[in-house]
Amino acid sequence: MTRDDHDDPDLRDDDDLRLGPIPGPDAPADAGEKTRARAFGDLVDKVLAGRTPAAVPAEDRALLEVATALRAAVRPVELPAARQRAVVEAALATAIERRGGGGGGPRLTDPSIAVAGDVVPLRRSRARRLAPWIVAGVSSAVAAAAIALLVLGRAPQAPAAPQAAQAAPLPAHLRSRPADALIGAIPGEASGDALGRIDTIYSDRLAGYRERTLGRAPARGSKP
Amino acid sequence: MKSWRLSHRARGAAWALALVLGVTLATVAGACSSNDGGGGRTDGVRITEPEDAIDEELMLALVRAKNFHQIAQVYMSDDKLAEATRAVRQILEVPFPAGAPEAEDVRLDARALLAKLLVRQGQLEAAMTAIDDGLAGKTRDSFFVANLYTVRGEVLRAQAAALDGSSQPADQARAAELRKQAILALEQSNTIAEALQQRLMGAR
Repeated sequence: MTRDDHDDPDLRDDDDLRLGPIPGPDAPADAGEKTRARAFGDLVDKVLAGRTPAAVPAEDRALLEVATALRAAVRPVELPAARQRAVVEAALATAIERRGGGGGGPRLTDPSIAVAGDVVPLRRSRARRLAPWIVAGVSSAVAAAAIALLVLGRAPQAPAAPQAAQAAPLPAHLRSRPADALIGAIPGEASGDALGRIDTIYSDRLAGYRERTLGRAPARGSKP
Repeated sequence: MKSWRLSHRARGAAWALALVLGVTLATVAGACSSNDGGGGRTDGVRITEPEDAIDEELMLALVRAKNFHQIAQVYMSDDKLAEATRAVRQILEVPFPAGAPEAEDVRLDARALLAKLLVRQGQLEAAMTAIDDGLAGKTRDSFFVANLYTVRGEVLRAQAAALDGSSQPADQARAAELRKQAILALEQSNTIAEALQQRLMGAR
């Protein structure tokens, strides 16, 4: 607003506040203006002290809101430490009652307090944190006991020799045996054919060896 | 926030440790149960393969003997009888598994071939020694023993034939005696073979 504005007949009166004609910026305050200023200052003090009057003139309400906003912006409101602690404890207690069920006993807190996120009771939270370590510890103890049992259980058995060697039954063709049945009677004219006979013996024993070790017999007539 | 992350890492490590220990425990438990033999009734009893099972040692001995026979065959085909004789003698040195019946059979057959090779080289006494050593070491009758008696008969006939040219009466008597022994050896061979054949047929 400039001085030229004061000459404007449309801006000469403040319709909203009804404060009368606006004085010039360098004009000395008259008695009425000082009285209004003092009354508004008292009103602001009361509001800040928490003693807001039941009724505030409409022309002062707008100025009061501006003053309150300005003060809040300049100096944020801080609760006293005791009050802060009380509010936090009340919120936590309410959350614990809600998450923990609280039982049918007397409620300690105001259920109207909203709680955000997952809040776990302190005792259960501690149990969850310790659970893996408990499982690991118990597993370690049991494993150590099992290993000790294994070691100690073997020790006395070690010197004891097997009472008897029990041979698994094995078919004759898988065993070392005389070659008479395989070779048969040797005619005089073949008495020197030792190479042919050892070929026969070797082939037969190789078939048995393959069957015993590999679990299958070679095809009939196959060469070793 | 950092402590929250560390806490979660620690919990993860704890779970991993628990898992590893669980697996270890399960493994140990399995080992214990397998040692127990599913009831512990096999304590003190060891299940083994029979000692007479065909094994690598027997197969190795057989393949070595076979190879020496093949070497001897090559030399014989080239009429290199001394080299063939050496190859056959090496068959007698091949180690077989203790108690393997194939060992006696293979060695008796090698001695029979050795004797025949020595006869062809005119070493009749050495041939008879090879046969006698074989017969002295036999533990049972077999077709290979019978064959050795057959070869013994051949050696005796060769010894008798060597005396045929002599004009000495003693030599002629000795040749006659050797022929008798040859007949006895051949008859012994037949006796053994027939008995063995009867036994085998009865077993079937």
